[in-house]
Amino acid sequence: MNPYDYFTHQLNSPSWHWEIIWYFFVAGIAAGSYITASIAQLTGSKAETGGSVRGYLLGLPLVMIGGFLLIIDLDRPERFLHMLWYFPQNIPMFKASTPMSLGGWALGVFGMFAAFSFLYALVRMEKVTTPVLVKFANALHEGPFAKVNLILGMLAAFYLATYTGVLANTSHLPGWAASPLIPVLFLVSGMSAGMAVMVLMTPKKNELEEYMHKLERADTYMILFELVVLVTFVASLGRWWYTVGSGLYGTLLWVVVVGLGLLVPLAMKWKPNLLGQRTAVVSSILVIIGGYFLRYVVILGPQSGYNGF
Amino acid sequence: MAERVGMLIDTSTCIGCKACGVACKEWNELPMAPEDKVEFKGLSYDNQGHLSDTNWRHVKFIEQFNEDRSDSRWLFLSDSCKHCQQAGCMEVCPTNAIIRTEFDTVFIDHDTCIGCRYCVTGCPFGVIQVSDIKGTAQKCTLCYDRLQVGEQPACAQACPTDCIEFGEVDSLMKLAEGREKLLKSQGYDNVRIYGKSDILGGLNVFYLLLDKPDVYGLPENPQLPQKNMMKSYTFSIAGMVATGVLALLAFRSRRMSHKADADQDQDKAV
Ligand code: SF4
Ligand code: SF4
Ligand code: SF4
Repeated sequence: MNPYDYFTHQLNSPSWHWEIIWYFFVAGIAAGSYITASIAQLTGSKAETGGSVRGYLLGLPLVMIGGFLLIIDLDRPERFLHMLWYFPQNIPMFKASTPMSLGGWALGVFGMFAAFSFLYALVRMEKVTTPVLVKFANALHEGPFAKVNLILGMLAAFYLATYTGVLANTSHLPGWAASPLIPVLFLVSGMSAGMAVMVLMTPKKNELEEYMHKLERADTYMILFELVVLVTFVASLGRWWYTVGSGLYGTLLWVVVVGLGLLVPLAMKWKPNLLGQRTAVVSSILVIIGGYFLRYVVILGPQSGYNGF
Repeated sequence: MAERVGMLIDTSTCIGCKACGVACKEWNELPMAPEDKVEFKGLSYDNQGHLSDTNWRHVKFIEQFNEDRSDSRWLFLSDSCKHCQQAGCMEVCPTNAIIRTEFDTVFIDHDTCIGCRYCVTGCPFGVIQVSDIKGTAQKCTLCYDRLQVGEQPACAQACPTDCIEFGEVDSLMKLAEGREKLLKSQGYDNVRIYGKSDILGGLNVFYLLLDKPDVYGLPENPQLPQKNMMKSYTFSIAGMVATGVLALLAFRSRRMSHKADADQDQDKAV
């Protein structure tokens, strides 16, 4: 027997810590809220979009925070433009074989769609009244270009929400490489957390009741789906399940993510008067906290124990 | 392109003197590891433990005993970057900072690297680490600066037993095959070459091992990290469809929505 397991210890950890956890978290919420607001926009009534339009307020600021986090995570942050431009040959830097390169572009593209929708939200809330901006924002969200704009925006958002998982999958750390379900997990959790933030942003108004009802229903579907994906994910890790499912990370996963972040909110969805008026608020906050800790566990667990962590 | 150069590491002749590691550190002016990372490993004569930003060459010491400790053997392996034909580090680098040189070796361009640390997980051998001091990814360059002036790498030159043999890869492979035959004829049944074209398209720095790769902590069948990528994207698309449909289902009920619109219009009329 080998006296020390060189194979395990020979892999290095990239030492991705809080910046990356928070980036994955805000990117998930940005994408989830944009997709939800867009679907509500495409299917809902004028009254409902009065509520869902608030979801558009999240994308742009969160993308900006995400971009900032990505930059400060670099060991040479002043060179962040090298992700987009290859200076030795003065050509755009675009590399399909690495999700990190595509992700950098996706962040920018989604940022553009998020900016359009941010403007539209301000127009709807009558905070922006400049005629040309009003016309532009309306054309992209209500007018002839609404479908194209929102569908392309949603595709960018879907990519943003999933590529972070593809990035982890495209590596050698066994806990990241063993299951291709990480992107699905991040997407569903981004959707449920994005919807939870939108629930918190919706004021109590009669005309928004129908919208709130649909939003809560969508959030319930996402929580249920997330539970299924999460359990399948841990099972699909095989012998590497312990990297996320035992010890400190396991405790966080089972107690905070599954218990507090999914099961308790689910119970609250079934019994909406469990805590009286505050039920929806409490369950939404729990879903958001669960979304954060899911990333905490999935990003840190598989790195722990490896050289450089 | 100049010839394809590399190194043969013949573990059967390594004596574990670590001259290669010292020569590498000297030539490349690699700093000492930060104080908090210096520790006694308590593992044979290994006090580095790992390849890292400050150790581009690491001699592994593997002590093996049988059950009653009446028999033992001591194996050494001088490890470094393998300059793979299919280099995972290069494939995942988002800035093209990792390039292939005219000598067919894998080189990190320190003016382009942004220190994102993705290459660290792209390498199946745990070769790369990002330096806290320089902020860029660090690994063996196969002494690119020495190759450019016609010198052999510092580690190969310092090795007193020629365990590290530098040269053109094809002729090194022939040399390795000869030694493999010789060792087999001497009763070393498990001897093998690690790094022919079956391993990541071929390793320019390859090994003659006395036992199975995992005894030396080398993966049996390393792959590019991209092996997982397409599967991961496929699942992403399935997840996208599933969540999209679920959200649509939740937001559907057009009848009620239209009714709400109609009510609102009526309110306005009143
Ligand atoms: S051994 Fe690792 S660092 Fe060296 S070329 Fe291969 S993948 Fe890159
Ligand atoms: S750390 Fe440098 S060399 Fe490694 S992937 Fe990032 S940019 Fe490329
Ligand atoms: S080839 Fe040069 S850089 Fe690489 S291990 Fe040997 S001395 Fe160090």
